[in-house]
Amino acid sequence: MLQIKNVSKTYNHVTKACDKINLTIEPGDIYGFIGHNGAGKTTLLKSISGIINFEEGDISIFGHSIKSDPLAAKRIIAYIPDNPDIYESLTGIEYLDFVGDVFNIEQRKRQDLIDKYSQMFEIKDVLSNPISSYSHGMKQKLVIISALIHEPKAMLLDEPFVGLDPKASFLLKEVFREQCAKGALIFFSTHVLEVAEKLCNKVAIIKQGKIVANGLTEDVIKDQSLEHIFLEILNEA
Amino acid sequence: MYGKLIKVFFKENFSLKRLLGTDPKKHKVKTILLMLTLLYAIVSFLGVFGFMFFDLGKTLNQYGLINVMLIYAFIYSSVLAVMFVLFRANGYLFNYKDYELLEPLPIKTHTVVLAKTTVMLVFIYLSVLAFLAPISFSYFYHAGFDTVTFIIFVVAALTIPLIPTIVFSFLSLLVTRITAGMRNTNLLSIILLFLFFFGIMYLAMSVNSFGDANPLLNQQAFMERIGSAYPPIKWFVGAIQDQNFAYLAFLVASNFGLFALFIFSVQKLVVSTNQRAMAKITRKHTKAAISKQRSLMASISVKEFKKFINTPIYALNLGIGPLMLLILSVASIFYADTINSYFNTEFNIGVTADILILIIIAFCISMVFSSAVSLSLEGKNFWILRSMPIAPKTVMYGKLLFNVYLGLPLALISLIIFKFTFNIEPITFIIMAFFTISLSLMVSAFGSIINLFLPKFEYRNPAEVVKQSAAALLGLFGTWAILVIDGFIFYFAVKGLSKDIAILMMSLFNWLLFGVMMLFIERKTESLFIKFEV
Repeated sequence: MLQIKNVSKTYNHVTKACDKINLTIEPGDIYGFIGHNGAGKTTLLKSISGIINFEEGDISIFGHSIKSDPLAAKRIIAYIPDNPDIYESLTGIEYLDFVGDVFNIEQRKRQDLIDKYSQMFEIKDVLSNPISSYSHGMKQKLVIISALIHEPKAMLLDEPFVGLDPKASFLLKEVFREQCAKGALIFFSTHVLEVAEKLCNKVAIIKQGKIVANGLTEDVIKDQSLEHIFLEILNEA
Repeated sequence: MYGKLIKVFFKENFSLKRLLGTDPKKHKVKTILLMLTLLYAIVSFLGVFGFMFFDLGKTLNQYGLINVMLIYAFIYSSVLAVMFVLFRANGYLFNYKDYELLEPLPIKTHTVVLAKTTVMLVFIYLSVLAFLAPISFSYFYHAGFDTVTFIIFVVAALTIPLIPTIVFSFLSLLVTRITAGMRNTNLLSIILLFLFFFGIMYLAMSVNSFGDANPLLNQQAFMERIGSAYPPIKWFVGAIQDQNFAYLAFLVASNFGLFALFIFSVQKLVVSTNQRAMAKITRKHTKAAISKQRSLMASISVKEFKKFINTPIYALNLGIGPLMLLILSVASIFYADTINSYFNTEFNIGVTADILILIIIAFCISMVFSSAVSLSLEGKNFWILRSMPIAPKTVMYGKLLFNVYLGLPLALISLIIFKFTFNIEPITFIIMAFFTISLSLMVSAFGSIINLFLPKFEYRNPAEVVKQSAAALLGLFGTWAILVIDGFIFYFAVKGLSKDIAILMMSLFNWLLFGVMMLFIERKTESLFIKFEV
């Protein structure tokens, strides 16, 4: 379970990016995180994954606090950023090996998972190429594969569908469902409200650093569309 | 439009935030510390080279050869321009990151090229100034100051980098084009650039070999040869030495004329090369990629090594020290007799072969400061390490270890070669090896600490980190400061003790520093890591 308790994060002692956020994401959840640009989505995702520090509150991932026990927490999470900036001097396979070595994945299992996902996302035959020669979409696919090969219990994704072709987007949704069936949890931010509406069993809407709506998707949207609800919340003073 | 472009480019390239890698308004204390660091680096640099050139000017003046200083000024400025253009022309002219932003705008290509070249030239002039300032001070101090001569000097000096910029921009482009379609593009570029660099060194040494016992006369003959082969040198010296305005006119007209021609002729090449660079070609392989399992430390080292060999400016700047050391040691086998005879001439500075070797080794190891910049070089990739289950201190140890790999093995191999060339006593050799190991470890740990305090994650070109960051400057000049302390220890110890014991004392000092630094890295890395804003 991913528990976010009273998390606040301020930039330069002035801008409050996250303001006393409380969220609970259960194993098996596909949780969509929606908000306008600059609402605090990326800040929260980076805080959960231990990339940035936060002043108040705590985040616990399957019982491991990201503040007091960051290594144990990071061993069970996978973070995928909105921009796949990865080591361009490495080849695709070298990058996956680096991730495999960090997570100490046994050789045979690693090779099987690399084969499975690289074939699924159709980048198997370019894995020996330098990442510098990859397109944005190919890099995005590589980051997704690197997240999947260590079989994380919690996947945190920032705008994961940006840059992916329709087939890869479809496959990623399938992977989400597959991971959830295994007991993992997925927490991702998106601007594509239709995806959130159809894919997520739960959603949270963030506005100026505060969670303004969250819960089961059908409870949040009621008999309206997510787009309608989102715009209504956005227009509220 | 040129003015508007220049304004934007200058703001992008020369802002204090960009230079320091931090926002001065938000981090006042850090900014003050960074400014002090820069000041220290500038003062150290000008102090060392100022003293060197002042002393040289004094000696040349005694022999009536003060005008050789002008040739020095010309050659140093040209070589600096050449090095800058070789490494940076690609980024400034032929593969600039904002090409996709600028090309759709209704701006003439030659305006963009001129603006880009202007920014590059400003960087070149600033680098050249670092050498020209001490050389010109020495020249005018010894030759006598005269306002008209000084104005001629300034105008003439502005022309020096222009022809090298033209020629070596094309050479840089040629290297890029030759290696573009190949598998290990960056590695080939590095090899070609190293070959070029050592080629210049070899040429300089072979032209200089007149067999004269007086090195000063050698210098003069060398400079005169170069002057007769490249007319702008003759015009430059003549214009300043004799206040010859005709020579000044030749110099200005030929250089600026060629430069204007360059701007107009290179436009199409700039567009086509930028377009080529945009295209990403991925080859498909029929064989499956096989994964390899390594230990975490080995995996970090592989990652660091790949970054090193795929970043030409990084490899060249930090690889030059150990390579130079190896070349010198191999060369010493063939020139052992000549070098030994040098120690018996009036020109030796009173040091023995083993001490000179230690000075050379220390200098070359100080040039290996990858640990002072490699954390910064993570740049936009830093999220990877931060989101992964790797302890921050492990990351720093990996980077520290890579710096040791980079410098120490070649330093030890060179030391072994020197041992046999100069018949160094076994016990002295062991102590020298002990010193070399201690120095390499201490320098690596020192670099790591500097980078923890002075990271620069926001950059567009690795050169901004490797050559222009405060951490890089402190990595180099800070190590020199520690070496000065080592020197003092030796100087005082050798008065009452044997030379071997004095070297041993320096080594123990380095080991002590290394221990303290490791303790710091062990205890403080985690708290510093979490504060980084990326």
